[in-house]
Amino acid sequence: MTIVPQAEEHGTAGTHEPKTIAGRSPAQLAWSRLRCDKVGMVSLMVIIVVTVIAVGAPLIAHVFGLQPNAFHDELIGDGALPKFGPLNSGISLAHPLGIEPSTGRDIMARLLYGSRVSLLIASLGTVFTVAIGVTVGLIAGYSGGRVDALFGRLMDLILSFPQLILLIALSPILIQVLNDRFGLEGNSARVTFLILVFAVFGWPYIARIVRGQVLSLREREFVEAAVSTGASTRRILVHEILPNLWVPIIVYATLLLPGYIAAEAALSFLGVGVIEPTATWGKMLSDSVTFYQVDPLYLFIPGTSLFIVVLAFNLLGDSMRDALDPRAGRA
Amino acid sequence: MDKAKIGLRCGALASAAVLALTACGSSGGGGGSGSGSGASGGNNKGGTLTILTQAEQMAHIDPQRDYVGEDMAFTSGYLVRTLTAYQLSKDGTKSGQLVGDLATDTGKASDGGKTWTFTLRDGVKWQDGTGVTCADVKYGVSRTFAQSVITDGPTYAIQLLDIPKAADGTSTYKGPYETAKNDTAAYDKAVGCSSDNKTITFHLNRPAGDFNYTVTLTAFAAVPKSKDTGEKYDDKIFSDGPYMVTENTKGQQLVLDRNPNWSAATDSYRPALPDKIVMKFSLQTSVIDQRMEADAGADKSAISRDALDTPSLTTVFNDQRFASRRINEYDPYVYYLAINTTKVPNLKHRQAIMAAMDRAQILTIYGGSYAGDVADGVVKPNLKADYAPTGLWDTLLGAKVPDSGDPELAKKLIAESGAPMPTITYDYGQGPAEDKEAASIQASLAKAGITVKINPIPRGQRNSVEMNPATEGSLEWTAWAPDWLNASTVIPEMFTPSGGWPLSRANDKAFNDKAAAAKAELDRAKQGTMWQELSKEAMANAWAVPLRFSRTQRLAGSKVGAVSGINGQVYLWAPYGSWSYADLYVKK
Repeated sequence: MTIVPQAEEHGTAGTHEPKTIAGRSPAQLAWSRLRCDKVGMVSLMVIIVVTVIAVGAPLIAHVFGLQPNAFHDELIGDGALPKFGPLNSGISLAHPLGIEPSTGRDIMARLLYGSRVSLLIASLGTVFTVAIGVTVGLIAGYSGGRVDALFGRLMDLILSFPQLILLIALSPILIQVLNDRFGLEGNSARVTFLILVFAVFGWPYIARIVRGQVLSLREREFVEAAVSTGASTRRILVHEILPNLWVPIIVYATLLLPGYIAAEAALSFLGVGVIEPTATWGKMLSDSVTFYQVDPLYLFIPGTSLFIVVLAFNLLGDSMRDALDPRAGRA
Repeated sequence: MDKAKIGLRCGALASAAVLALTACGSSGGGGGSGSGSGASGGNNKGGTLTILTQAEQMAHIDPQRDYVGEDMAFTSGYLVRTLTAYQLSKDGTKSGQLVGDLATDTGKASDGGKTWTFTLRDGVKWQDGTGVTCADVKYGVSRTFAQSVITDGPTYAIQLLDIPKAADGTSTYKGPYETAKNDTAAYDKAVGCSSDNKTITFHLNRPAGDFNYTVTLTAFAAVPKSKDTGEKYDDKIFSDGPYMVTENTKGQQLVLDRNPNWSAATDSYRPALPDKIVMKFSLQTSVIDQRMEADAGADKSAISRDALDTPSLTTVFNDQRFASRRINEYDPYVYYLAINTTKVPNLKHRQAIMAAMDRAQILTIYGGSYAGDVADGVVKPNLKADYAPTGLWDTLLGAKVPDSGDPELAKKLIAESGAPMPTITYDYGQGPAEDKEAASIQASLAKAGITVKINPIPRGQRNSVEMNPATEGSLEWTAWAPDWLNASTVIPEMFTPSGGWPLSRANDKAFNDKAAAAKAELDRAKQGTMWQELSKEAMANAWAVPLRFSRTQRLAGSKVGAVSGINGQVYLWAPYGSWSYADLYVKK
């Protein structure tokens, strides 16, 4: 059944006359709303650029001759500081963003390769967190009763753990298990460890949100209708309820990802993250803290990059929420 | 002594010092006190000296368990009197000389150096007013033998005292806590007290011309039997020094207040000027450095127990403001990488590791010239008689090797070895500079085709992982300093199976015999030549890769002075490469 198209709320002044009157799906509507949101578009561009850079890092490094792990200790003077560059940063034509104190490794190259690891950990962590959280939230919210109570207590339990302390205490043991049982070595073990840990401690948050939504959704008429026509629970969850949850899920995911980038930074700072010689933005940040008084740019440059990416994701999340459901967030 | 548990050290490092080595080991010797120039007593008495550290606690204050140079300087300066002590002096030569502390002089040797006698001072009291007797010293020394309770301390008492060994190599005397199957009679024969309880005699199992240096270790200090709480003694020890422990809270602070029963008349060694000593634990390194640089308020009368962090060096040493309170001196340590011969049995493989290592890069990572000099062996030049250039980087590897390493030579050595190069696991304790060093080692060895797997160990656990043959890797990060001014506390400790830190797991019978002969040699000059040869042989066997002869940089608050410093200025005390805790004071 064709629907008479609604008048556009904002955007192009009505000179555009479609040849045929066709309905637009919610996705298309959302996209056109997003397109008009300048902040959202800029954020999206930034994220796309960062993703392309991260994915294409080896190619870019090959083209520009960047080596993230090459030591240049001839450029480092006494006191472990670069011998030249404004504010002891080592910035020069050969090293546009400067060099790392102590080792002389190129910062631009390390930022480039660092973005891969950071984004890999953050995105996989987000995917798993959301997958587990949504599944549990759906089941708990829809089932109610004992199942809901059980999951509820499980969520309470996980949320009550002092996560950071537990992580630091357990990391050597868990990494050893990954080494022995699963044959993962070095950084693959650590990256896996980080992703697992994010997923295990992160899912209760989104599970609660989803459960809350499901609790209200399951009382709605269309769900009642589906139940009365004999739809299976799985069908109801996947085809009726889940589509209505995309908004909070997507918004939450876009806010979760930068949180994980920052969390990886914090864990690297504490020494339970990725190990040398791999660079991640978090590690660069943690290394730079002790040098900030004598080489502030070493802190500023990765810090700004991290800030821009996190901000872009946050703003995109806001814009997507506005685009997907303009009424959400308004009283 | 090892760096991480911060072992022990003795060494007059200060650069230009010429050591009068014949002063070591001779019998007798006057018992002067250590105070030199600078005001003492009177006008600088009082105040609270604060010591800042990132450590959670002092590793051990129990005198028989303390093996950390900095800690021993602290405890022997304030709490624990030892039979003999090093002079308090900025001058490296003078500070390498002994004075009698608990003893009236630096001891008398007889029987060719196999028997040593010390007469205790009169009037020395414990913090409860009871007198310190020979029985207390004898009891203290006996505690080392209880190795299951009294852990981590130096084991020289077990090595040197004339007590028979059981079939399994352990001593037949098991310490004062065991009643069954314990050869207490043997201990009584080895350590004897005179009838007036004022003279103690040690009977050794081999001649030791330097035993009076050995007893500067707090392991040979007195402990009253009635106050011994075994393992718990480490929380609060009983003091016979100018201060006593009032609080020892891990992660918080250690507080020392004046010992009312200490009398300056019996102790000319310690000026004991501050009224209170507080050590604050668990501070962040960068914060400590910032506080010391800022020198504000109470921090004026503070010092940092830890060395300055590398990033702070440029600020402190390029700015004249810090001139009167900064120190940049050689410390007693040699930093090296032990090569585990059980994991890398092929000599040419080990030599390839030595050849490929980029030692200049590692020095840069630790701060360049602030970090010290590139080393050519495990014996540091401060051990004057025992040091000679080993020629490691000139000839021992078959060619001259630059400080930046020679991957081609390494490849050649591997080809000559006739066996494929094993994968090397590198153990080290995590830290910002240590992580970068690991990356550097991995990269420079990779250039020679050697695969290195790095194994970062959480701080505090490194010793147990490295010392355990089951968990030890192929290449170990470590550092060592001599326990007193003799390479007998370096070479046998590292390279013989009975040593205290044998990470190389070396067991060459001819080498072991030569080391034993050198230890027993009474002629100091001859002994020095023997150590020089053994040092060279150890490098020829590629049992360790020497990295650097290190320096340390420290900063003190503007109101902290040292009695025997020049114009009262603080200095690095050579015997332990530490602050001269005993004679620090707070200026008004």
